[in-house]
Amino acid sequence: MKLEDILNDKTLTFAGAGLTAFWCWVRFGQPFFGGKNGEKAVLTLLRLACGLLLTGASLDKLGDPAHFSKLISQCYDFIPASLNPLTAVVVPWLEFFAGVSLLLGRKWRGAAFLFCGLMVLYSLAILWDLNHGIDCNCGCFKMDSPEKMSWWTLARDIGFLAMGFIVLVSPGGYAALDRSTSLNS
Amino acid sequence: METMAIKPSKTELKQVSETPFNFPDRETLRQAWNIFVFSSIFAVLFNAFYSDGIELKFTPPKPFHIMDRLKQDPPAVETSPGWKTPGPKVVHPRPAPTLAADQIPRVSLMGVENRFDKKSCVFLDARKPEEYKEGHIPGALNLFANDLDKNLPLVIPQLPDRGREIIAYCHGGDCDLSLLAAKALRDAGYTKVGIFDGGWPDWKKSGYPIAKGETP
Repeated sequence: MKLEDILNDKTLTFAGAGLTAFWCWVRFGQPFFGGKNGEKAVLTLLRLACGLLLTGASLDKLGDPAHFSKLISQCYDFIPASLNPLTAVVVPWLEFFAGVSLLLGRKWRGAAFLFCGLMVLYSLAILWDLNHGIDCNCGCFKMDSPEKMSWWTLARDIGFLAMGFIVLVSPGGYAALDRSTSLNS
Repeated sequence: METMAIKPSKTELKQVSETPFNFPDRETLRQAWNIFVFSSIFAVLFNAFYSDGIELKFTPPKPFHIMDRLKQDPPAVETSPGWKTPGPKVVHPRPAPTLAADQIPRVSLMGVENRFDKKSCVFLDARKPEEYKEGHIPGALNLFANDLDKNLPLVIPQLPDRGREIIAYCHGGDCDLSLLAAKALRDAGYTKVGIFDGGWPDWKKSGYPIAKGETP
């Protein structure tokens, strides 16, 4: 089973939604595993999930900018043609480095901010395409996947956005390289 | 002990930086900006040395094009189904001669389907031969418009009737290939040359048959 298969699966989204709900329960509900530590564990998992998502989504696009550029010109044609090659080259690497930052926990808050920003942009792009009836493969994880863009894709992206937002405003979890987020209690 | 009381200890500093909901703070934005700049520079450098890299061309929009758009031409008139004849031409002073896009009639998808059903015109695929091979409108001839000197003499013998209607297409949208091909054919003496505006993406979406391979 490849990484993309797992990431593309709806199970990951449900896992993210589950973690989000769990975080809400821990944060606002009753304490779990001695309160704060349980919350930190969930936040760590959420951060790693976001990092894995971004890195996994970028891998297929990194090696083939020509293909990605074609996909952008076909499916996301609101991006001006003059910006198309630059977008096709920069966006996958931006995803990759932000994802690695989240996985390693180095500058993770900035990476979480980028994650949220990217998710907002993707959601708007999908919304635009759905509104204009552009029947396209979204190229979210794999550029050649037969999965067509749908309201489900939009809902998934908004779910990811919620996950990223929680990471962004959180105090941080375990296993991060950043000094400010390391466990000190 | 007294110095400890004045100067916050490392743990205290950490606790301050771990306070939740401190967004949007400067540090976050700075980190995000750093990652963005780093990955942009890395991406551009990587692309420059990568064997499958693409050409990064950035063409800023020219100001006089915007001025032209402000002074719009009168709308095109549909004389027969799908065939649009441009309205009366308003002459704008232009700094440089551009492709006479307005003078070549545009054909809508409906018009193209109509002609395809009646077999009343010849289609001309102005895209690259590789893209043509991947799929084209059945019966379409390939004339890659970026290499007209080489390709035009090969196509002209296949179109003996200069009065026959020819519809050129490419990737649709703002692609110039069909325009170049149509202009070249008009200059070669063909009288009824048009452009299928939607191009290949529209045809693919329409559900009409697609031919593959090097032959029409």
